[in-house]
Amino acid sequence: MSFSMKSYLAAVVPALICVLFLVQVLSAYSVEPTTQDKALNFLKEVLMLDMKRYNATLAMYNSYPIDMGGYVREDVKYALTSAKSTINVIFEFRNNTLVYCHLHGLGSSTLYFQTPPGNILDAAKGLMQRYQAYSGATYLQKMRDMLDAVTELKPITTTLDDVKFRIRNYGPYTCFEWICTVNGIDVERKGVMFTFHNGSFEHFADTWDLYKVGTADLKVSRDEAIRIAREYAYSHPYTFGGVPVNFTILDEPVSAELSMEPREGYTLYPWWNIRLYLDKVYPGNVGSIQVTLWADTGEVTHCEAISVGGSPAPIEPPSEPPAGPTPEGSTGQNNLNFLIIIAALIVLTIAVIAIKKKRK
Amino acid sequence: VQNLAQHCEQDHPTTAIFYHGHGGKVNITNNIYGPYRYFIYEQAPQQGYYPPPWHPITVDDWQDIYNYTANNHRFVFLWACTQGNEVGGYISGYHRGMPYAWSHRSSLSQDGYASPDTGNYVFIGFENMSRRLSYWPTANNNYKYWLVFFYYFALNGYSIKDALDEASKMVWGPNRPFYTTELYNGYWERNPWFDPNKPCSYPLNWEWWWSNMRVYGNGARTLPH
Repeated sequence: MSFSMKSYLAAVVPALICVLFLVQVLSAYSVEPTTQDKALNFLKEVLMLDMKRYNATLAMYNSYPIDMGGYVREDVKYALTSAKSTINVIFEFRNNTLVYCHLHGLGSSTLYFQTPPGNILDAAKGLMQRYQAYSGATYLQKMRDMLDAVTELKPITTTLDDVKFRIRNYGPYTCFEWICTVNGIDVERKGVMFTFHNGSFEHFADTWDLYKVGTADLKVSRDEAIRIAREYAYSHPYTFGGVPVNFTILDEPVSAELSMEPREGYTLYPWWNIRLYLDKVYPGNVGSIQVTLWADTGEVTHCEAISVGGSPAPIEPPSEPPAGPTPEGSTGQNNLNFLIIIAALIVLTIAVIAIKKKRK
Repeated sequence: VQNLAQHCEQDHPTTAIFYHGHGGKVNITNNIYGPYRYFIYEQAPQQGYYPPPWHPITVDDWQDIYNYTANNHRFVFLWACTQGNEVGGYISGYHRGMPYAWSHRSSLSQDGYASPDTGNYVFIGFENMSRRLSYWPTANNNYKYWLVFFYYFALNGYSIKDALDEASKMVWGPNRPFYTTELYNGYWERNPWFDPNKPCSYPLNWEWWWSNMRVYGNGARTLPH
């Protein structure tokens, strides 16, 4: 009996393990849709496009090698065509998670299964609500609450805990942005964004989970950063023609900007961008020195002599008025050459005539 | 530049060009407030102590570009000061303005990124002072890298405006397309020739210049790839 039980277990247990493994594999495949599936779902579930009335063609798919942060980037581009219009959509995924979407061509001829509100503020609220359902991310609830509290579309900035919410205009773009803020430092890279252009949705981004904050503790204050930058610039002068250039840095003006920048993949740390201006223009057209450093360690990352690409101010007019406009197909230089040739011919003719007269 | 422009115009059906260097402008009447004509330097000033006009080799919009171009410079990108100040057109005897000089079109969209026109031409240049390619707007990428990213995407099936977005996202993060960056929205750049002893109202001596990257024409166009 015991022998038969052992035989039975020996046969059944491996079979059960195989079945469980297969179930795991199959469920993994069935639960995790591809990036293309996720892209199409976003169009339907978040943007409410009537995908039954569009012919969706995969126009491009690019997968990039794994990056330094351990992420795989995939770009997906769809062309949605209907009898009335074409919409081009670009998606960007990182590790199978949607981080960016850009639509061209939404407008009055767009086919929705439910028409979104014409009011941009209400449209944004609807987008956020549907995106929350699509994503399932917990951090979206706080953002949604902040947006729902807004009753009028105008530039605003509000902060709740570690989320700063802004409605702002970038030129003709109206942008609803939620960014992370830590220790009073805005983390511009880490956020969620919906943008409208000409009354229609155009851009979406969600990088909240992509980036992590390493530290926002400032070990180097603004004044200290400027002092480090000045000392570094003087001790590491740029060279021109192989010769170090002695320059003088003005006390004022000086600019110092603080931001959170990636180090170690997608982990963010505070970073100072210092611009030191010189008392005059030095060889190489250099008018300022840029020094950058990590604000949590004081380590200098770059020191660049910044030359200028010309002068924005009008130069003094030439002392003599410029030659008049030249006819098309010719140039001032061509005219000058022509005049020189004519003058040379005249001189040559006079010389020949004079020689002939002498001989007579 | 002039020879290349002429060669491309005569021997190629369409052309895309990029130029990096120095640029400037000069008023074509005696009014220092304009109108202006624009130029680039074929060689950067080696000493650089004083502003123009001491540099002998300039390439002017009205005589060195306009007269050697006609229809086929479809995408022109000039990374130098003042090249994108205005579209330009024919005025006071001059075919002035770099976008106009290269394309022979004076009706290019003023914002070819946000509101592309339907034409065949795209021009990118800087209004007032260009950012230097060696400048680091972020910790890991300077503008040289931005430019490499831009051309990578522009030559791989992305439209000009999408390539501007992608390059900007590579530098500032995936939630920062072109219109959120300082390139589109502008930045202050200091005029290193500023003299505090001269009156600041004099435009030759303004200390700070509001500058940005301008896209004219049809940014929705895609380069052949």
